[in-house]
Amino acid sequence: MAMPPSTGRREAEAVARTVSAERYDRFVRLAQAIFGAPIAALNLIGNDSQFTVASVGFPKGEMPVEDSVCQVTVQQDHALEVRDLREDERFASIPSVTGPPRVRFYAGTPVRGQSGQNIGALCILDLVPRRLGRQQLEMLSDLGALLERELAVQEEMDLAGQVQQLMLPTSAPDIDGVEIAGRVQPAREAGGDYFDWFVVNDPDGHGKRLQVVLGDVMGKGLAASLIASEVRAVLRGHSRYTDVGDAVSRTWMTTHSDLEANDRFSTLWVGRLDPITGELDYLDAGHGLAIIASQRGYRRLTQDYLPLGMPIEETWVKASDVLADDELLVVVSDGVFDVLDDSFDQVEARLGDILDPGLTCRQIVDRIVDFAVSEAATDDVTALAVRRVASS
Amino acid sequence: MSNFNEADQGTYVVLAPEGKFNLVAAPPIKARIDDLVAAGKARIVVDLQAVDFIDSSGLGALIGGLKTARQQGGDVRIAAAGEQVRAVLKLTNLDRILSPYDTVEEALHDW
Amino acid sequence: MESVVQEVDGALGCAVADLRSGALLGVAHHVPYFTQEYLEAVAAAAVEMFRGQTVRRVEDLISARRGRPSERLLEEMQMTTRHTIHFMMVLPNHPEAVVVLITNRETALGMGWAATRRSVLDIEPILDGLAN
Repeated sequence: MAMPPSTGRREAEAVARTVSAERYDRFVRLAQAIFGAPIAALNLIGNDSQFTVASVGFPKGEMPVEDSVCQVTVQQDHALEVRDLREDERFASIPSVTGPPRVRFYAGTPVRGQSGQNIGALCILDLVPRRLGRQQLEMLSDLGALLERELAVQEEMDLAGQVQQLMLPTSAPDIDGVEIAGRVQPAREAGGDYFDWFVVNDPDGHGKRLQVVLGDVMGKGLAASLIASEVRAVLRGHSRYTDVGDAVSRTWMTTHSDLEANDRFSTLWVGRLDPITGELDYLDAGHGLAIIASQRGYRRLTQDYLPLGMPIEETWVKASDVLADDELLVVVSDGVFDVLDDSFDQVEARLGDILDPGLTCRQIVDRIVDFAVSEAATDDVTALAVRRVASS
Repeated sequence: MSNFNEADQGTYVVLAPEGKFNLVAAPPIKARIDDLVAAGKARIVVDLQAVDFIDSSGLGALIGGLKTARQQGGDVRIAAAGEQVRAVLKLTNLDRILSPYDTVEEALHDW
Repeated sequence: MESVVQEVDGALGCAVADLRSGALLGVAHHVPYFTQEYLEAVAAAAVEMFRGQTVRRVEDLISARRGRPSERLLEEMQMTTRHTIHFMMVLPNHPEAVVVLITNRETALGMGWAATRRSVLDIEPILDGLAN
């Protein structure tokens, strides 16, 4: 017997997959202490299963929904209290009543999700018949309301992270002769690291160019990601009409008051590549972590400019280099640099891991990000890799 | 790290944070600099000798504090920065604004 | 019982006693002055409180008043002394046994009771095993 399908059931299953127990443990701990109950749990009701995602006195995990009491609770708008489960024909024969832990009393309050429907219940159980009374039932509902708010905040954050990920480019740019890949692993659900790539027409009218960007807004989390979105969008807009130096200047002019008002700065590395000749114009605003590497060694593509958001007006002028056809352009955020103890010697020592010509850019980027994550990076981690390939 | 030492020397104040100057440690230090400047003590030296790690939030706190202090005719100067701190300052070119002095005494040169 | 002592702030020890014989069935603690002698005395006191003459007389009187055969009505008892709290509970599926959790005065009552009642989940299966 499954639950009638609904958005509530689907949301419950989605939340059950991503939820972190520690966040909701505090609610069940409080519940058991307030009510002196041996068992307290947060159960989410999916289509076929009940997911116990946080609990005291009961194992976390999954069980068939027809054996659960909370599946009835989610179908109403107020708390469900059963003085003696043995005497209630709905529950008298479920396994937790007929066998261990042989519970007899239940009180649960429904918990609503972002969908506006109940997705589960916060409940307490006891081994002897009991009654809570009006005041205690209200306290249980109060706890449920607090938990709902916590769930809502978490779901918002997860959504922000998803939106941010969806804004990153994934498909190959519409230009021949390049291979590119990028990846961000934010420290929290959303973060201040971002990368971007898009095709622009060379302002001198000589064909198409690939512009690649890596930005790092100070801080972590939602606030940083909002600023990152702004910088990214503004830079995109300005890049269509000018060279990289001017594009960054104009981006600074447009965004600096927002950056300063929020006491934040953003490093930025912008490169513009002609895949046919390998000419690479770039501008480095305080980022410093872009290199061209090959079996012959590596060189840094760096300048002296400050990050965006400083009260000093700079005159940003691009620099130029050439990406040979056996060279790899790699740009990373400082989250990667930190796990290498901020040492370029260590960077050099590890270059061999990514210079295998058999690796795709995707694989290179994954290696870098996975390595940083495995070294317990605490900051957002981003990597971009670009290579010229023979035109098809 | 949630504590930092503070020494008021009359014409200037020395703040000495310890440990990781990061997302958690930065706001209280920035707040303290703001309070000191508001109270008329806009000459501040941040002694980084005991800081083993700084990230963008820590840099942001120093830069933000520097702006506030300079608006009131003072300054925030850093001293005794270790290897990691110097590397990060150099990477971001922020050493152009926050010149790292070797010692607190040198940072105080005209105060 | 060990986990109960670990998880409750201020817990000093936990014991299970047989109400028929006064025997200690099990014990967990980490306090030096909880000697065997002391714990046996605690067990004996619990038996006294749940099965003492005065208590039995009260239970008989109440049962009679309700027109029912004599029943053991006392299920839980809490005793607060100058330095300790004793949470005592008859095991719901093993009425011949009682569990006692002893804590210092700092322990929150709700937590003490939640833990005492939860200990039943671990203790009863062991008693089930002993009975077979």
